[in-house]
Amino acid sequence: MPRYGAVIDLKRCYGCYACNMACKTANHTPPGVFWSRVLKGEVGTFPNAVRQALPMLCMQCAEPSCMEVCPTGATQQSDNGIVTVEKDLCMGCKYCIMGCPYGARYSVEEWESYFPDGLELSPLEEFQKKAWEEKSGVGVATKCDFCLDRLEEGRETACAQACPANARTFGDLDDPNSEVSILIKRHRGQVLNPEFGNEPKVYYLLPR
Amino acid sequence: MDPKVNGQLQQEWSWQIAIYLFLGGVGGGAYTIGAINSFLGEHLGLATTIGLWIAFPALLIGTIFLITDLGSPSRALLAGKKPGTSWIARGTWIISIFMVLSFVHLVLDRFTSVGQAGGNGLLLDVIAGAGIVFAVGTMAYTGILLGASKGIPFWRTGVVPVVFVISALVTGHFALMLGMILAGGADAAAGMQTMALEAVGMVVLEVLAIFFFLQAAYKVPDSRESRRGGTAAAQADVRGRVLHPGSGGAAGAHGDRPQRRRWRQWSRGARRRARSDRRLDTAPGGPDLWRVADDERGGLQVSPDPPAQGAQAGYRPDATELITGREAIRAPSRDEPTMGGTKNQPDFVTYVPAHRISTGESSLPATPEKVCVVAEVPLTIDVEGVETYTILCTPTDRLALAVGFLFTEGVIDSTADIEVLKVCEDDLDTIRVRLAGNRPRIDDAGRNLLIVSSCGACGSENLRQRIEKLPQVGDTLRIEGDLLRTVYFGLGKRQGLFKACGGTHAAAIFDAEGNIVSYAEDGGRHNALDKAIGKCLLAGDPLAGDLAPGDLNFGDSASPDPQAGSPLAGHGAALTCRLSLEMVSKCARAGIEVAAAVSATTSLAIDVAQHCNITLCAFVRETRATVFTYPHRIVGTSD
Repeated sequence: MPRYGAVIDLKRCYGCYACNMACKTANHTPPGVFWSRVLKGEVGTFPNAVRQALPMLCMQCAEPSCMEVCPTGATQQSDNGIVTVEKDLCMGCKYCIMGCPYGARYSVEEWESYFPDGLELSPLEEFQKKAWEEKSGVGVATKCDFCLDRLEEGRETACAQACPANARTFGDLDDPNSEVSILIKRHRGQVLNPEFGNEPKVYYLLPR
Repeated sequence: MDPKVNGQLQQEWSWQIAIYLFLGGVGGGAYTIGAINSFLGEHLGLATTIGLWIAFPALLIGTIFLITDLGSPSRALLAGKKPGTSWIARGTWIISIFMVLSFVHLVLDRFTSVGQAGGNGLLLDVIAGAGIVFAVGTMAYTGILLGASKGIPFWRTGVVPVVFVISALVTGHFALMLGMILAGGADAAAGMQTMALEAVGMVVLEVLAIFFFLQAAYKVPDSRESRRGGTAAAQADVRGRVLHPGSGGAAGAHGDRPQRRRWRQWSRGARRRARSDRRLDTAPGGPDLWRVADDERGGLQVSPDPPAQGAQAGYRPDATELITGREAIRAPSRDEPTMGGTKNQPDFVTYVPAHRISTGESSLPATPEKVCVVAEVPLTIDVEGVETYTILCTPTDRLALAVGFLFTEGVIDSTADIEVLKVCEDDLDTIRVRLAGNRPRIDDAGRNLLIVSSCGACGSENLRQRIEKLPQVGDTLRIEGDLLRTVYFGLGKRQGLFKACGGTHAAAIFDAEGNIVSYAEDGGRHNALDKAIGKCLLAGDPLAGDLAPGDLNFGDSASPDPQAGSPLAGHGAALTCRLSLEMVSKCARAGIEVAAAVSATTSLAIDVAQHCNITLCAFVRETRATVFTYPHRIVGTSD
């Protein structure tokens, strides 16, 4: 069984938000929900300051604190290490949203239109809303699942496929010859906030 | 919800939760104080009763608010499923039991004879005792619950549960007092004075608790770092959320001040890295690391394992293989006993402990690491009866270096001039050379010196004279521009030593088809070229013994004639350095017709190239190169 992980090369990422949009398209996430998102910040101090984009997604932690705090057991970790939400078990207490140090979780009870008040949902929105309700459920916690359905088909995740800079790589961390393992080894991949002890499986290659 | 950057408020838990926090606190506090009073004295019985009347309804309403905040309220009954790890599940059980107890207590106290004078006081005491335990649990668990939220650093202190308990007791206490005033009567008046005193004490406690909470909350980032032993080397700070508990209820004033925090986005903690290293089985700089070569696009390809020993004897131009297969580099030769080092650790690289520091942000601590460093050793070439030359070089391909050096320095004209060439058995860093016929071949006398950078004219007194004596190369090579790109791509793939350590130059000799016939790396650019030329000279020469030209793949047509004056006629040299006088003059000695380099050139080098009929290409990059002299050899530039 593979142990899925990801590598994000911050040298390559230039913050174009293509991953955001690909994720929203592929997973039909409602307005305001970004399973894959990009933080922008300033790194360093003057005069050595640069703008840095930091793409974030669910870190698929080995020790997920969201699973720890879930009172109903809806959050589960599959054998391949991907943390999923069983939508029929989730009661929507949103404690996991507080428990996730990486801000990867979202809960939406109502699909708000992208358009101004009073307008009906567009046909596309209707379609997305329906797909969202089928896949992720309403009023329950949702999160990135590394495009599990696509991974099982052997396809790339939506965000990796869309990334124009080739900054994202997904693969099996247990396989020492997989691209992710090699990248982490060669470029000393780091995880975000290791002090939380979640043991995230998304590694970042630092820009300097 | 927007991405949580630049100070978003906690938005997930809405006002219903805040109301619950308040009501739960009031209920738990009122019950606790009332029940304690029932233990203390009969005249405070009214307080107990009022506490009971407050506790159960407050809890009930609060719980209803809790449920309405759920995303899927219909599944509220699942809430207690996982008390093993989740504080919401534990809290569900605590509240439920407390509600049952307070309800039973209320019913027994008010609506049955148990609570009346002469009733069963023991039963009530037992219930009150258990009720106090669960009331405290109700007051405290929300604080623990908030404290366990890793996503909200503002809450992550151990003081939060204390603040919650004290706040709940204070609000419960005042609720009791309010109830007693409303109830009126003699009992109330009797208890009021005590309770007012208690209230003052509790308010003081509350203020203290909030003070400690704020202090703890605002100190969290720093104290977290100090706990990590200064390993928090954040590479980038992206502003985190502004954190807001979203509740102003029982916990009172602590919730209304948004706090900006720098959220350490990542850290290069040594402990953490050690763990991930272990998992990925990456001893720093492990040999398998070097067998990875970048392809053009920047993706990855893993080169196959190095061939077994003896599969391809001879000089190994590729340091990748040199490092992974020590046997292969120690190509057994009659002249070359051993090169030192061990089988596992080649003698031309060492691992040195060092510290990586950040130059971006001064507050980041250094992280220790082991760095692969290329060796630099003095190599002494003792030419019997002529001179002793000492070169600082990277100790690979020593015989080739010696031969190439002697050739380009003009000591020999071909390998036929060498009678004996061997590594000194006592001192591996000395190469002993005896010239055939024992005749000095050098024009300038008195060149016994340490050559740091063998310039082709070292120690020479008359530079102009030497330049004039440089031979003119032939004019047989014709290449196209993209051939240079092919050659440099091949060169880059072979630079294993450079990839592992950095700090080495590479030189390659290529033929008209773009095949690399000879390749070498060295810390000095002159040495790299000398080695590459020396390998060509030694190819097929009995001096090299078993160093057969296995990897010196001269084509059938372009086989160099070691006896001729220009052994590398029809060949070009690709270098990673700059093209200065000495590099060009070395090329001229060897008859190399095209000298290409990644970096710049110099005026003197251009003069020499002009004189020697050499095509000089500098700035060879992926898409361009600059040709300074004799562009006719490169097809398409002649007209």
